[in-house]
Amino acid sequence: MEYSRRQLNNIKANLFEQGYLDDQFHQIEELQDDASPNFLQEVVTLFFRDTTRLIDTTEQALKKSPQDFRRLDSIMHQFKGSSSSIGALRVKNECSIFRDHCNQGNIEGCLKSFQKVKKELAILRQKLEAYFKLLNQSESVAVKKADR
Amino acid sequence: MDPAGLTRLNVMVIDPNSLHLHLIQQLLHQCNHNGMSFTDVSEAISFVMNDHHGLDIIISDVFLPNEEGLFVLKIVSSLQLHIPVIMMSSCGETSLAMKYISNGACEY
Repeated sequence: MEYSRRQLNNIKANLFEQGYLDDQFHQIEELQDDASPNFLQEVVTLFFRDTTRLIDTTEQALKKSPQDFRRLDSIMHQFKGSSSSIGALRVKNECSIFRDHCNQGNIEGCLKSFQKVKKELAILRQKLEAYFKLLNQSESVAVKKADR
Repeated sequence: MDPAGLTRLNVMVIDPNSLHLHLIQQLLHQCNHNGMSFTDVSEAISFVMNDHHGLDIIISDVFLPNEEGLFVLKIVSSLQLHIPVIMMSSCGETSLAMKYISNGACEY
């Protein structure tokens, strides 16, 4: 199915309306230029690569006993920073909640919150992968039409 | 100097987050500046000590919680390099900002 620019914009608008993304995502999009036409996708790819590593690091840190809340907070500080950088609003907010639990020394809270961080990240990844797949298909069709 | 008459700066950026570095590099590129990126303070300091000529400005993360970013300021100060250093952090505490400004950062 060929997706028009308007349909793609609607899909993207929904991501904002549902709170998955904030304006930072738009700002990254505006950094795309002729020299870096896929900059947004590159940044999103980097984000998911980094957060996969941070998920593993957090899981290892949560297994330690006694808990090192300072270490956990430090990891989640990075996680929050990355999320904020690409406009991943829901992920960022869950990271903040995790950090609050760290400050309170509440390991149960951290564990529950971490599940939510992973869930929001997975949902966002799914939605953005679908969006970029459609975007790339649409651009590929547009290029083929232009070549005719 | 680039053809448009604007000064092209050589900017060193130090941040543990490669995503942040990627974003800043693109911003620098669009402003027609040259950027060099480091995720590690030790490597960045080593570069500055060996070859700081032509370096116009340093932008560095604070590197919380250990605050390794402070070493950048101390090296620039001790070697009297007279290179402006801008510190970055998501932590907006005034006390932290004042600490870095009093240690020589020109901006936080």
